[in-house]
Amino acid sequence: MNYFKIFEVEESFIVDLNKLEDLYLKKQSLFHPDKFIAKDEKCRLEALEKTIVLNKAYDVLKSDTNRAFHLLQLQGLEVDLEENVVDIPEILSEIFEEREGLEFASSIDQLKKIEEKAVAQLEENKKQFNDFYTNRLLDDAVITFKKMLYKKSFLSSIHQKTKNIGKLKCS
Amino acid sequence: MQLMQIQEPGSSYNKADVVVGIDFGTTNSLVAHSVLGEVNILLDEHKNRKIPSAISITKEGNILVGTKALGISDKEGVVTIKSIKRLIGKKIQDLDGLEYLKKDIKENSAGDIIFSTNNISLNTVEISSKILCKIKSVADINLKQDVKKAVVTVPAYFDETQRRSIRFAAELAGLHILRMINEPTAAALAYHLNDINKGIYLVYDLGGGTFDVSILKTSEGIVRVIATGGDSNFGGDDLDNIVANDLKNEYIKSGLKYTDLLNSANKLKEKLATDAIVKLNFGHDKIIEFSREHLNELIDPKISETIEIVEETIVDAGISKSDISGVILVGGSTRTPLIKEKLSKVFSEIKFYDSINPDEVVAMGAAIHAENLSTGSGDLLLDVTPLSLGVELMGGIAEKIIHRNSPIPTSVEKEFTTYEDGQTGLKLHIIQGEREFAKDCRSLGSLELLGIPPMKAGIARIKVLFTIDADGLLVVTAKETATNITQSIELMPTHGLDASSIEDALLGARDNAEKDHSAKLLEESKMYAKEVASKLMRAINEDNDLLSKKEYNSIYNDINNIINSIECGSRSDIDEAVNKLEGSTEKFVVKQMEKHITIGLKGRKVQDINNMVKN
Repeated sequence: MNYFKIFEVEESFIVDLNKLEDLYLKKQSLFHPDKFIAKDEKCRLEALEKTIVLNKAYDVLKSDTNRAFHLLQLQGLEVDLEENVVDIPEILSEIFEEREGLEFASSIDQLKKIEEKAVAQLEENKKQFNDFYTNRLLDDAVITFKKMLYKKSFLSSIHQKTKNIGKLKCS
Repeated sequence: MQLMQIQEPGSSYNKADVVVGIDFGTTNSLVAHSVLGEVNILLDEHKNRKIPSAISITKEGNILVGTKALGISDKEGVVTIKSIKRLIGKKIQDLDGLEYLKKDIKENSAGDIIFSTNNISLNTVEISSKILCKIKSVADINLKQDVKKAVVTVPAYFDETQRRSIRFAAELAGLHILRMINEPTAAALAYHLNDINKGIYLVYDLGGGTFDVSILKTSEGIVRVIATGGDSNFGGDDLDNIVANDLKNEYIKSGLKYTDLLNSANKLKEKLATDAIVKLNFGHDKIIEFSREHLNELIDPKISETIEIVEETIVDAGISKSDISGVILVGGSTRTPLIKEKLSKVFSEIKFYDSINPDEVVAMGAAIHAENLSTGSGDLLLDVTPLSLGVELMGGIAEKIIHRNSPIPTSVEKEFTTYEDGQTGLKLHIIQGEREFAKDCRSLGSLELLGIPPMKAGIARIKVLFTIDADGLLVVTAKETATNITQSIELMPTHGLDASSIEDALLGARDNAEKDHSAKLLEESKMYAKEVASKLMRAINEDNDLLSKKEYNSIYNDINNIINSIECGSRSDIDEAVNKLEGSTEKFVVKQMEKHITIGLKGRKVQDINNMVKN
């Protein structure tokens, strides 16, 4: 299924999230099961199914990584998510360094710096992905997509650690 | 020529079918009705807006519900059950750390919570259903019709089993839940009508027995939840309990009962919301001064926990504190000043919304949504699932399939395979919760797919579709793609329900024709039960020379039970009461037959009814 078609928006990595949200809510108002509660079961089931698809489509399109994955899918690429980004040799050492940096970080300030850097890199990755995808350089797009995934998981490790340090301080 | 009826979408609703909004609360319940956005809280026969969520069982085994139940709670031999909402859908081991809730309850052989007293044994669904039945009758009397449909609210953090149990209790009470909505969402809906506009709002809902946080984004015509958090094992009751424990020593000295102690603790907490110091009189000139500061000290750890949940929920919503335009306060316990104080520290200069009575705002929201559903207009409510859903993998690991805070309705398909050569069956253990291991999550049930053709391990492709509907309830379907064997289960809370109740529930899930049929059978059971009750009542009074005082009383009680079950029972309740009476009157009927020869009251007829029920 092409989720871009559901919202009638252009098939692109760049999406106006505010516009997407408006479209999502408009469609929800039309199809939500609450609007069909007095109808027969067939109608109600149809409404349920439509809303499920809407929720899924919105969930995919509003997230950078999910949207990138969906675009690659639409190009007929089966990206194996289990296969880790560490399989890409050129960034392996970079990952190693970053993880080490995170492990030794012991203050909120240090973590903030690591986070800022990671966020900037993620933004750079997104830009690259868009370029590769738009020019249909799909192999490069897949690698960049995996880098994005890695950065997201790295960011959530940073957040986890920030939370833990915060807790230690309080107690 | 055939006449065509032209209808606007959503307007096909039968206008005579009113839909009420019900807030089934831990301490009190409310029922409300909305007409064109004007909400009326419906009053019980004592002109109370709040219907106490309590039942009392008398020495004779009679059951009283609501205000009446509290009215007789201090009579000798009367057992009063309160806070049933804290127990519904739970097992005793879920109540660890809440020892005071474990008073008076037992576990039956299936491990379900039951109350067994004065020869009456009731499970949590049955007790809830008695209260819902009372609520229904308040609505019936106020609206002068048989109210059959309702929007019922539940705590946002309620799990699948708790939700299903509530739905089930309502069906037993003769109420079809048109939609189940979350309490904080209902409250936001009530405020959205007049007070709040476009923005992001946080609802802090501290009820009697549950705590919910919901973060909502509102815009023209839409109230949308973006994240939910909470603790379904913490409520205002627990604050009372903390205060009660602090006063325990004085109470022991004064010789008062624990229930009185809890009541006083509750009153004290409420009074300290407005007064800085309250004087407590323990008799014998013993007066203690209790200050608000002392209360704050006592409850601070618990309130801090709720604040932590608030902060985590903000993170889950992917927003920051400064995005929040206001905090909506729901639940009587939010009158406790410490809560506002603490929230003000989290959000500097935040606007609080508490102009609608925090005890009534949920029922109002439910009534507004009920009206919206029946007219097909008004604000659209979009909610999320509060807990992750998943399955147990090899090694007891919990794999999440639908993540918490996913907008509902939603569905996710997962593929599983066999792990042994020639394996022909697959059992999926379905769980709910955030923990890493299945044993730490709530078990919802198992789905067994049989008849997979024998293949090498890992060849079979079993697709499992998990769907959460608009009520937040789960349906799981499994399909082996090589053979197209499909199995679908709707998870039922099997605990605490007898087979006939489950049968009734399944009956209810089928089409309307069958529903009408079972309604007819219920009517017939009722008619027959009335006949039996009135004949026997006459007989035991006419021929009381055949009965000892004890026998007379026992039959008298059984007759009363029938009358109660007719007023508010399922078909199985009624038949059971009739059967019980049949048992206890067997001897009497024989004696009476000998005496009169002509009157044959019992026996075959009950059997006939049973046959009719089965057919």
